[in-house]
Amino acid sequence: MILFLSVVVFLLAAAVVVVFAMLGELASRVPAPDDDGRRRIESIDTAKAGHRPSYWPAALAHVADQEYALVLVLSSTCSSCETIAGQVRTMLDRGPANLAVIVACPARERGEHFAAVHGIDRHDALFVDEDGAWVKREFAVDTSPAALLFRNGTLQSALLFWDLPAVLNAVGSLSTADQEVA
Amino acid sequence: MALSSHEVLLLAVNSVVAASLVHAGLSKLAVPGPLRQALAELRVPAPLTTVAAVRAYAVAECLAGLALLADPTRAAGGVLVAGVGLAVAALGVLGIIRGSVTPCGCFGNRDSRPLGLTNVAIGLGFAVAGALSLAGGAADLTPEAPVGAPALLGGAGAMLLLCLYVSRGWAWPLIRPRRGTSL
Repeated sequence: MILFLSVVVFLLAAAVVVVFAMLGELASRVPAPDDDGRRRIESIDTAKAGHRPSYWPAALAHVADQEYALVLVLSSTCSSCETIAGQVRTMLDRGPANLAVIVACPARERGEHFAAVHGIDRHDALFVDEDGAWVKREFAVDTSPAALLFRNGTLQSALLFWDLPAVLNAVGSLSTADQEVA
Repeated sequence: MALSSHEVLLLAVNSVVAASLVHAGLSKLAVPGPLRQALAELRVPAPLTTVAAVRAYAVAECLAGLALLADPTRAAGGVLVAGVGLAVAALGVLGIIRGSVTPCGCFGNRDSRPLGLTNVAIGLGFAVAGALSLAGGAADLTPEAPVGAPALLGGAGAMLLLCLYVSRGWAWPLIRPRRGTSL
């Protein structure tokens, strides 16, 4: 009986192999996606545009004073955020006053680890937001990676994005005074 | 039935080798194109690069793998596995000499490495495994120790793991989240 069941399991595994081989062949015939998918940007309609936070975390206090500011919301559990965090580090190193990063994470240690791995932990403009509580409460933004564009401390626009240069271009078209950010 | 460490090693080797060969054979039966292109690049004579020839080779791989999993055929399986291994190694050497750049299609996929050093290493590994199986047959093993249900189940598990690894190139972009991740 055990031998019979073992044969059945082996045949099922063999069938899976054949199906995967055929799917792989089909996948190889699909043209490679261009950058359009990665470069697309979606507005987060549920975000509280026009809202001014009642409270700013210390790491983001400078955002409220800028005419235009960009805050990127990354998550320690999001695969796209891994790539973006690496790109953001270079921008933070240049030190623009109107750029900040929020790392949302299930636990503070994970957020700090994420920031350390991507080299953004040494910057003051980094806020580790446990469970994304502040972002969710203040702006009703609960997805990542997200870009929040502020004007004089008020949320002007919230965007979902997958490519940093693409969102910087979009932000450039929304504001005229953020050339330093771009 | 308590197995000796020698028998456990033989069981593990048989399972992994059988899984690799059956996986490679079934994949090539389903998708013979990539190996045909790799063989044509190596200027292998045309009659040996037809779809039928590639599928015949795939059947030989499957039979070699399956033969390792049953007691009456284990010795013959050892010989077949060693032969397949030497053939794979020879193709790897040919790939190195002629500077192959076309994916080898060893598992039917088009994103694999060209025939080369990896194939030489794997082929020689198969040859050693075949010899081990033959030596195990000559030794006084517990009847059906390295074959039967444990070998089939081990082979099935190894085959599924190998399938996931081989398919990662096209499968991962399909299943990775593209929507924003919930905070």
